[in-house]
Amino acid sequence: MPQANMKKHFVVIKNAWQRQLVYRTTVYAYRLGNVVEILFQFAIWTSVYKSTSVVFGYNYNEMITYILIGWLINFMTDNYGMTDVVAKDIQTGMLSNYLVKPMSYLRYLIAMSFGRITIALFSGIVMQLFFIAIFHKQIIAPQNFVSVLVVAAIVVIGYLVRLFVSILFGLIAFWTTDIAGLNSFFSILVRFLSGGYAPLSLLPGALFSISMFFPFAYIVYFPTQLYLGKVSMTAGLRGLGIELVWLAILYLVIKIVWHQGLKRYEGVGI
Amino acid sequence: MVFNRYISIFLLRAKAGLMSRMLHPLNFLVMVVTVALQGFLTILFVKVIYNYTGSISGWTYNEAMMVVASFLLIEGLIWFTTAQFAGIRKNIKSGSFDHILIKPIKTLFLVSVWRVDVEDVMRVIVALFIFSQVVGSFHFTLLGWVVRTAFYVLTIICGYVISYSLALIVNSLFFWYTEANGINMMLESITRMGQYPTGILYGNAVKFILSFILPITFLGTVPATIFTDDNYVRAFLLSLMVATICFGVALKVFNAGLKAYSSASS
Repeated sequence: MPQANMKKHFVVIKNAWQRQLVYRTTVYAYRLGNVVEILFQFAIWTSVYKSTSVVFGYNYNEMITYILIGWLINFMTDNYGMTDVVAKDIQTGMLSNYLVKPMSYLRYLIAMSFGRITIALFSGIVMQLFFIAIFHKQIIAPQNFVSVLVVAAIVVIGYLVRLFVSILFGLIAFWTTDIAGLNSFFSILVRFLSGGYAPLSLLPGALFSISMFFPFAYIVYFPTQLYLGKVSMTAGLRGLGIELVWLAILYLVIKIVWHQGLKRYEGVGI
Repeated sequence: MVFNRYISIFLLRAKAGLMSRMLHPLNFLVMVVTVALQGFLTILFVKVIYNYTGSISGWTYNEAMMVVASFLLIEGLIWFTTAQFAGIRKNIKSGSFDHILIKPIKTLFLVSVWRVDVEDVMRVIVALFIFSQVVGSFHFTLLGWVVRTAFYVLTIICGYVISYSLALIVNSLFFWYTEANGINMMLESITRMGQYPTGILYGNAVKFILSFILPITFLGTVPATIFTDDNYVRAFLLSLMVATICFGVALKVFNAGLKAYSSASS
């Protein structure tokens, strides 16, 4: 029975992966845009460090490492528009097809997201490894193997947290047919609050403390801090715990929203 | 007469764009806030960086903010008037491009104004806000202000033409390849870097690429130099030259795309 269950999930992953192969040019082009963004970040920070040695508590090498590891984690936790997928399923009535399938919609989305990210994830990692090779003199090596393992665990949970948040935003489509604005707003906010633009330590004290209550800070900022040895292993494990609690909360909220949303669902277009 | 006709068509498209947005007023409001948030995050980033340094590659805080403002102004105008040529990609994908071709009006104009993103006026407002904050730091005579402002407007128009041309070239690829979304996103990512002074990049090759191959330096840095550099006439003439070349190339690509277009519905 569990084997049959696994097989179902694997078919979904494989289908999503094959679909992504069709759009691989899109992914590569997108990566080229990322290359320019990363190069500009290097150039900006290199210019800044010409007149100062420490910014937000980071020296030059730490900042370069933050950018490289931060982008790498960003690539590893991105789900590339799952909010749109969920919203479109609801808006077009495609959701009705999934309701009669022998697999829950949430499980289907999780399996599909694994297939969807494959090429993007692979190209992102290759690109970052290329940058890491170029900047190997600046990049700081991890403190120890255990911290790498904890960072890896945080990244995996971070991926699921980000995925759950995206699904949750997508489910808003049960109540409003156009969520493009909300989607863009939350994308920018999540990237900012996760430390995707710059280290969160740029925020004033109170705002920084508030941002640490949200799950987003544990997606990019926190694991990078742990990698750099700027937080202790105990704090790292506590961060992992906080992330797991957020994951459980998000799962429960998704369940509640899903059941409430289904009551409003009209199966438009079917 | 013809000009009035085109203006009225643009206004009609703007009205249609606003009406479609107002179908979901909350979503529209969030879009406006999002556009403003993007602008203010850039301002915050620049502000925080300059807390640690007086200048970056020779650019002071106020000069760097002029770059940001110029970029937002051009970007806001492009999105407001053309929505990055959504008219080309949407209609080719949906098979309704034939309807555009048979209209008694220039096809290029119609695909340009097909979608008007009203919320992007907010970018222009953020740009004007930045101007109001930094303009006091530049000191010219009255004549100096008049001349530089005139050249600035002309250079912004050139920047608009360059941005328009780049978007037209990329979106014309949809005539051959309907899945050019990635290239469009790549262009957006790259042009977004025009909001920072391109002088921070090292290497003549990189500077050459960003000036003449992907001329994003004309979308922020060059317009700002009208107020920060005494060689502003040269900056304008260079902008004019690049804008003319870009527009010429874009027209060629678009016309070639039109020739290659095979109707999806017939």
